[in-house]
Amino acid sequence: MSKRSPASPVNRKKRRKSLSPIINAEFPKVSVIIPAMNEAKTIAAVIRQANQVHANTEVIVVANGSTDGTAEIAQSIGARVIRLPFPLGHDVGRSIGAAAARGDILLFTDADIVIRASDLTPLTKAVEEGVDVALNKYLGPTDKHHVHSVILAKHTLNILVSNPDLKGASLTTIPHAMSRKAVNVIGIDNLAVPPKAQAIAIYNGLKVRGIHYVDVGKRNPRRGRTRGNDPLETLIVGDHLEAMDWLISQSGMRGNRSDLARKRESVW
Amino acid sequence: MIPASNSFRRAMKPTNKRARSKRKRSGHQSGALIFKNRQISNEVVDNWKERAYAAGYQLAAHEVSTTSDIPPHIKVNESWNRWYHSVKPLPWTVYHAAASKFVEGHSKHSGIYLGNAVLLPTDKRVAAIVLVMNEKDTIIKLLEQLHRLPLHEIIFVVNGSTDESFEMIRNQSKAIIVHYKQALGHDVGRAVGAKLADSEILLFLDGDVPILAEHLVPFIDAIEQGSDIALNDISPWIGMFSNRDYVTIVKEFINRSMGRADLEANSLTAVPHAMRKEAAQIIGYANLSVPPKAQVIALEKGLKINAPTSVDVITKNRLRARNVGQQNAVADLIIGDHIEALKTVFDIKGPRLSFMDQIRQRQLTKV
Repeated sequence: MSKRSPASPVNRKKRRKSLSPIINAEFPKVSVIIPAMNEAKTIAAVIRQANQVHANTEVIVVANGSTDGTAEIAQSIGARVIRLPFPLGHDVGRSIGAAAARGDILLFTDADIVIRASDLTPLTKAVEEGVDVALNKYLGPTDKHHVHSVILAKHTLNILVSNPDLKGASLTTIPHAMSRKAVNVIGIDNLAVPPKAQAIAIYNGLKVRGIHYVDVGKRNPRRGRTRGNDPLETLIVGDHLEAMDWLISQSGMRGNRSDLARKRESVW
Repeated sequence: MIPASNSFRRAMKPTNKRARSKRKRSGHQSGALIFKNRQISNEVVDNWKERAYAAGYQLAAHEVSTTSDIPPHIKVNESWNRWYHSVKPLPWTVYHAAASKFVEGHSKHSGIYLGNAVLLPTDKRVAAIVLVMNEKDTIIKLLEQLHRLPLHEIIFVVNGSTDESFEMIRNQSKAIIVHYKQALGHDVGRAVGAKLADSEILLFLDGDVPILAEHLVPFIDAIEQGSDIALNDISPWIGMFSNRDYVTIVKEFINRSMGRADLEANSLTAVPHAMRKEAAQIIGYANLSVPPKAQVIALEKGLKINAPTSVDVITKNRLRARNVGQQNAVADLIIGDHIEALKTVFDIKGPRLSFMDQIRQRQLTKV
């Protein structure tokens, strides 16, 4: 998968400093989980920023299907690296990373975008202060008539699970953090389908909040117009449908909503 | 023979202006083709009016005066279609101007006076189905407009009404009234009316939203053109995504999930809309009580749905006591309807519909 522009000068400087490895805490408070597939350009900087999120942090890189040395770079910097020779598919790395995490707080981010530690700490801090799932408030462009299907799906799911104030804030978007309790309620396997994880969290009464705004819009390369053919769009919309299907399995065919005494038997 | 007087021209002017601005959104493309990218000049309109007047006069002359009990309005409409099918399509602005002159020309010969009647571009039988629950403030206006159309039947489903709506309809029309003392609940009356109707085209309306007869014609035309369901295109009135209400967002999502992004947030939940009677039967009459469910079933069964025209029922509607207090409850009901619609398609097509994720190694997530 082709990635962003070449590393900025800042990143290059950081990489030169990469001689001094990070130190993973022995008893981490925060586990940062970074799925990565061929992100050699950015992985080092991502790990460094992630490491600064808390005094007791471990950084877990789930390197899958990488052929560009991503895993080696991560290893040399001192991250815990889980290697898989084949691509896992979207967000499966989150489940695998979460299974290995030892911290009380799990912070999820991606390897293809360097997010400053100062943009990550508000999320972990919110969880320390009692939020169960702390989301990025980034919504994508919504001041328009026709929004992207992913944005539409995110808003819809939050409305259907009766948490419309979240607007389009979503576990599909990184970065986000969650408590150990949230991981247990959601189930590690469900982290691989983020909207489903979100539905489970909200439906089970966890405190899911939009906490901090991080603009992750520029990372999505403009692929030109791929109307209806964008496989990622298909995947994410499907994830939301799957989440809704789960919701219906829990809350009945009307999602626990009244039909104001419809006399359906009047017609047959 | 043709009265091309100034008074006549003046009388047509305001209608033209209004219709012209509507036309841009109307998507009545076939007509727009002829007059592409330019305003329709008064000369062109006048020419059509003259032709229609002459046609009305001539066809009236040829009509065999039978003693049949076909209502005069429908009879004129049949003549109109005989002529219109030879010249169609016309943009709506021209259509209505021409139809009006056709009626005038016809009347000149036949002596049948139809007032400001509107004609339909179809010979199929058309039923209007109107839900009524305490609509005394709007029902007369609504009747006035319906009476301008050559309808085969008008069916009022009066339910849970405690005001004089029933008496008003009874006194002012020959409509069929289905009366239920108790409220049937939201949209159940549509199913009742649809099942009862003996027409090929069903036009669904709410008693609290009177709509100009001219604005109802494109819905019926869409069915005549081969559509199974013709929805109201509300897109011009829903604004930016960031300002939309929850119901509108959910409506659009379901359309996209069914692979119909082009339908935007248009829905059977909104009036007015038209449907082929046969489509109602295929969907299942009872399902019409839950409009979003009816919509996904229709799509799933391959019925043709489009949104041929825009009638503003959003910005000027529903600041009424009954609705304001209940808005949350009604929104909740409609969202529930959409969940029910989702459940219906999940049962048919599986939990991800056509949005697959084969590349995901799910088996590895089980710890």
